[in-house]
Parts: sequence; structure tokens; C-alpha cells
Amino acid sequence: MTTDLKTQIQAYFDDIDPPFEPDELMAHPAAGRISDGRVNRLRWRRYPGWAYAAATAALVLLVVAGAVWLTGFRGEETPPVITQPPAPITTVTTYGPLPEAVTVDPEQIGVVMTGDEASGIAVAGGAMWVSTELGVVRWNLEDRSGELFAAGDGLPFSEGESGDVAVAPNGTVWAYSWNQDLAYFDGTGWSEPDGYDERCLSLEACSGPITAMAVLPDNSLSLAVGPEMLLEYDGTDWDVVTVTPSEIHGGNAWATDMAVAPDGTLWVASWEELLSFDGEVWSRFTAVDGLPSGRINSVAAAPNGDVWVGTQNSLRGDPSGGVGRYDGTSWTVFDESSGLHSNAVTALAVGPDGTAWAVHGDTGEAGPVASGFSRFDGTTWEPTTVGDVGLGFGWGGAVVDDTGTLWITSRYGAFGFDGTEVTVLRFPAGARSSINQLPYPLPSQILPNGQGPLEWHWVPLLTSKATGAQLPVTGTDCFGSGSGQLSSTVVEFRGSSIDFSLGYRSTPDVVVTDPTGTGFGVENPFGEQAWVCSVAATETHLLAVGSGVSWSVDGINWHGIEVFDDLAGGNSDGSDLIWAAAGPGGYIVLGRSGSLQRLAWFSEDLQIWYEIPFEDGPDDSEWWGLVGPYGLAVEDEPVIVIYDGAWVGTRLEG
Amino acid sequence: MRSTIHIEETAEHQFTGFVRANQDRLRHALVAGYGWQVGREAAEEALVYGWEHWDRVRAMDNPSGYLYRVGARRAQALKKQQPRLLFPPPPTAHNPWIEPGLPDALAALSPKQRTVVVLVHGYELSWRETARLLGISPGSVQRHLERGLARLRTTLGVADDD
Repeated sequence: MTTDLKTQIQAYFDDIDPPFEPDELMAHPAAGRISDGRVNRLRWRRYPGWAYAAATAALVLLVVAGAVWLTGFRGEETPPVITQPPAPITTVTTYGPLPEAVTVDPEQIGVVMTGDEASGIAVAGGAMWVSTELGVVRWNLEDRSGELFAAGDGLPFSEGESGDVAVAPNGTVWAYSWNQDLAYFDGTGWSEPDGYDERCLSLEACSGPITAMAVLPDNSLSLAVGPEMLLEYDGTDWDVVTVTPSEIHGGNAWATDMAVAPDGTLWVASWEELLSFDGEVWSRFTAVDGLPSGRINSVAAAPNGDVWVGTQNSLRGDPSGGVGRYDGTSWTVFDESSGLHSNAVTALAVGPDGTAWAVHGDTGEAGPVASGFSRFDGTTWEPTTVGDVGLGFGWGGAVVDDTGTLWITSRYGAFGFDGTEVTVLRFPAGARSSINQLPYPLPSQILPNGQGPLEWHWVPLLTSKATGAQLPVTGTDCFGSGSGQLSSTVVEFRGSSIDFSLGYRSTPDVVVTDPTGTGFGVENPFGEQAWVCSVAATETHLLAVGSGVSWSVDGINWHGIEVFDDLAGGNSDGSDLIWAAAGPGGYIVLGRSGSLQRLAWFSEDLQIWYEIPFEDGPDDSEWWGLVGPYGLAVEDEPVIVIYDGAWVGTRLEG
Repeated sequence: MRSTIHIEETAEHQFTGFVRANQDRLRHALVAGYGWQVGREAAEEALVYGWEHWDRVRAMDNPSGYLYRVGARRAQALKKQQPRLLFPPPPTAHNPWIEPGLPDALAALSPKQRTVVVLVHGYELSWRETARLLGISPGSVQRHLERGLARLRTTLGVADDD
């Protein structure tokens, strides 16, 4: 009997997605440990009445003083709100890429800036290798110089995002991407290993992404592919090791980390359990066997053979997390009562001298967990908080270099900590540089709304296989995917009298600092009401957008500009304007609320703006996001459109 | 003599009623958008969060919409943390006639195609409901659905249903 596809789909979801029982939700072990996901929330506490009165009086004074200062001393006015199309504009200044934001600049060491996301990290031979969104970075630890191996430019990855790196004993560097690409660096260039694609595809071994990697003492490579399979490569042949679900973890947990002990034993961590393979026999360890939790984020092997795991609390009722050490016989658990900064351990590394480091990142759960480190000297744990330096570790790798400095990766770059100082590496800014790669003449004229050749053209551009969904879209949904985590935009702003830099942190604030890092401070012009969704800068102004209102800063003051009346208030989070980019002669702003999307152009001085018409273009419900300052990606269509005064559609072939 | 009996509904009763009335839509939207493992975990945590803050949540105009946003943020965080199983193998004991390759085929669809296919055929939402939920036009739903089903049929090697 064959059953039609639609019935199969319905039956499948009936099977796999049963409803939750209210009683179980009310008695859930995670109750009280879940936040609503918003960051920087204002938490009200009960204070005495006089405290409220004092706070109110102080606020009134502050507002009055601010108003006096703004109008009396500064003599500045908020830019006028213009809701009608402006007069024609004929002079255009083009702002090119921002090279400071897309190079690894040694001068930025020590300056707290944000870079693009980094994930894996490895150290060998005086070099540190880091997986980033654009590819793999080699960082020379001695002279502090860096080199990016980008996808399509030396690194044979179909997409840039590199997932992890590992260095073999013979010096070969291995890297994989989240798109199942695999390559090795032999000291001169990157190559793809023979037979990888064929072996993967023929056995359907690569049905899932690569999630962890390790190199064994004999230089052979071991890859965790999908939830229950290892691929092993000895330089000539590929072997597939299938770990059946019944033996291991029910088939639902992916490997989170791998490590190789000095005796060659392979250790594989997941969010269910820890596995070891001595070449012949698999062994498994769970919370029942003494692990601090089954939710294992990191595993590392010490030079003396001890195996360390970093775990966190599980929402499934496991113990509360912490660090575990296995001496070959039994597990020793370390938690906050042992001196750990936090039981949430997002990464763990062991140095050449056996010193263990635990990294406590933002787990995104259970309210604020301050980022920090804990160092184990063999007897006690020494916790360290690193203060407000914009780390927001997130999730990533950790490694200790030969000098004992701990290096970690996060959403915001790589960070080194030698026990006293934090060093920050920011990496090339991912998709923001994509505009550089467009073989398209930059704008030469801007036409007013509704006038001129506002047409859509479908012109072959690249032999790329990119589609709308695969383009390096830089626009971010403030309400959804990017909420409070828009870390990767970094722009250099050079005002008439003050130079400063801007960037995101894990908080929704705009970080305003001058090049020396002393800074003007951290501000969110939207206050507690909404996040800053995006910022963009020209030579004279900064534009920040978020809650239906754009705010501009001229180096001194924030000014509010109301736009898109029909989008405002459509979202209780108020996240209506989701993207701003420095475009031709000014800015382009993308607003979204429900099914409505709008594009607007602001003049460079922010004194005028108008809505960009799109009647002849793709339906706004299909807009995917902005690609660089000028491009608009269209969902599920191999097309981007470029704004150069008119909309010009460009079809990507392939 | 008439007497009036006032029955005070407890928070537990209110929350139970809320969950029974709203969890399907919340869960379906998250599973369709983020996959089975992340979506269910996010939905569960959003509902648990709703119970923990029930006094505040129940006073909202649209508590289920708020909890969806809580769940969506959580799902985004989960997606960043670890790759997850998008859809599990079909439990063969229940319906052995389900194509074993269906989960992988679903996972291979574009995000919008997958979401629409799951909502319409997995959870039996109408095109209009799906369009409203995703903030797109019914025409877009139809287009995504047709493309998604065509890709599924090609991948699975099954014939048209109609």
C-alpha cells in the first residue's frame, strides 16, 4: 500500500510532536531558570517610598537640565520630520567600503571592539588558527599579524563560515565549514582531501553537518558527522564508524566537542553523554557515572592523561553542571562550591603545564550569568570576572598557548586572557564586505521618489549558485534572529572634530569609543523600550535604528527621526526599523512589521528622507534582507537588486 | 431563596486552559520554523516561562503571541549553540508506511518552503492561517507549498498525490 505524501507528512508530525501536558509544564525542572530571552531588561524591585520620590526628583532635574543644555547652550534642533518626497537630488557622494572594519589590524589589539563571529580555535607552532564567518584566520602570536584565508580565495569552501580548526602533530591544519566542506593546509596552501566528497555522498555519511573534529597522534583525522557517525581519514582511505543510537544516545544528540588523550584514546562529548574509544571498545559516561551533567559543552585532555569536561545545567533534571575530571578511574566534580565562577561552563581548555581553564559564557538561559573565567592551579579554582569589556562570550572554543594565555572564541571575535589582561582580536567583518565583490558600477545619481527610470532589470551577473536565502544577507530581524545579539557590525566613524568607532555588544547598546579606546560610553538611545537593531555611519553622522524611530548622533547628541507611520507600533517589541546602511549619499533603512516592509533613503545630513518605491519590484513580503549597503536579497529567488537611484535587479545564474 | 456561588478560578486552572487552547499554535509555529528538536524545546521553555510569570503574561493582550516571541528568541539561541536534529526518524512502529527519507527531505527544503509544508500539511493550517502566521501573502504560501512538495516528491521519488 502506498500512502500519498500529504498524508505521510501529517501522520509524521502527529507522531513526533505530541502536545505538552500542563501539569508537567507547571512542575518543570527548569521552572525559575528561564528568561524571556531579552537582554538588558529592567528588573523592578521593591524599594522604600522615599527612594521612588528621590529617583523621580532626580529624573525631573536631569530632564530639565538636558533640555536647557540642548536648547540653550547647544542651540541645536532635532532635524525636521519630512513625510513628503524631497526635492530632486543631483549631487551624490559615494561611500566605499570601510577597510578598517574588514582587516585584521594589529593596532586594534587591546582596543575593545567587536568583530565577527568566531567558533573554533587551535594553537601550534607559534600560530593561532581561528574559524570565523569569512573563513580561517592564521594569527601569528609573536608579531601579532594576521592573515585571512577566505572561502573562494585560497580556502576551498563553498561558503565562508568555518566551523572548527585542528592542528595535527605533523603541522597539517584541518578546517571544516558548517556546510560540510573540509580542507587541510600543508604550510603552503589549502586542499581538499581526496575521496571526501565521494565517501561522504556514497554512504550518505554526510547527511548532517560536521560538528566536531580531532586529530589522532598518528595524524589521522576523526570527524563527527551527524548524531551517530564518525568519519576517519588516515591520509589515504576513509572509514565510517557508525555508533548506533541504541548503544549511545538515542540518536538525538550531536557531538559537541572531541579530544584526543596522550594515549590516543578519542573522547567525544555530546549533550547526552561522554564517549571514549580506545581503538577497539567504546565506553560511555553519563551523569549517573559521576559526570557533573549530561549536557557536555567541552572536553579536553591534559598532558598527564586526565580528561576534563565542561558542562552546564540541563533542563532535563540533570545535576547542575560544572567541571568534571576523570583520572582513569573515577570522576571528580567541581562546581561553584569548589570556587568555580559559575556552573555554566561553555568551554574548557588545559594548558601545556596542566593548568585547566573553564570559560563561563552567556548560556542564554536562566537570567544573567556573568561571563568570566576560572583557573585551576591543581588545588583550587580561581574565578575571574573580566568586567565590562564587551565579551559576551557566547559559545566557542578555547585553547591555551605556550605562554599560558587562554584564548577563546565568541560571537565577537577571539579573546586572550593571561590572567591579568584581556586581548581582543576582531576579524574581517563577514558579509559587510560583500559589496566590494559586486562587479557593478557604484551609484552616480539619485533620483527622487516616483521619478526617473525606476525599473527592475534582470541582468546576469555571476555564475554563482547563490539564491536569495543563501546570499550573505546582512539585514537582521531585530525581533527575531538578531535580538540583542547584533554583534558583527563595526563601522569607523570620522566626524569633523572627533574620531570614534561604533559597534555592537551583546547588549543592545551602541558602543561609542574613540580610537584610543577611552570612549564616550555606552548608550542605547531607545532606552529600555527596544533594542538598537542596526547602525550605520557616514563621515559626519551616525544613524541608529530600532523602534520605529531613527536616532542620529553627530558626535554629541542623539536626535530622533520618526519614519514609517504605518509600521510603527505594529510590534510590541517596537522593533520596526531593522536595518540601516550607509548608502549612496546617505543611508538606506529597512523597516518591517508583520507582512509590511518599507525602504527609505535618508540624506547624509539626515535632514531629508523619502520612501523608496518598489511597485515594480518583487513583493515586499519576499524581501529577505539587505546585502551590503546597496543590495536587497529576495527570498527564494536567485536575485539581488541594487539601489543606485533606481532599483536594478540582478539575477545570479547557476 | 436563591444563592450565588462564586467559583474562583485558580491560576493553575487558568494556565491549564491557556495551554490546552494555545499550545498547538505556539508549538507548531516553532517546530515549523526551527525544526523539531529546537522548536519543541523552545516551545516547552516558553510555556514554562509563561507559567512562571503567569500573573504578568495573562494580563497581556496577546499572551500566546508574547510567548511565541519568548520561544523564538530561545530557539535562536539554541540554534546558535549546537546543530540540532531538524526532524527525527519516523517512529516506524506507528506508521511504517511513512517514507524513511521524509525527515531528511524536509530538512533539505528551503526554510520558507519547509515552514509552509509543515504548517499546511503537517499541522493542517489553512493557507490563510499560514499566510497570517508567517506574514506573507496566501499567494506566497501557495508558491512555497508547490515548490516544497515538488522537491519532496523528487527527493523521495514519489508520484503526485492528485
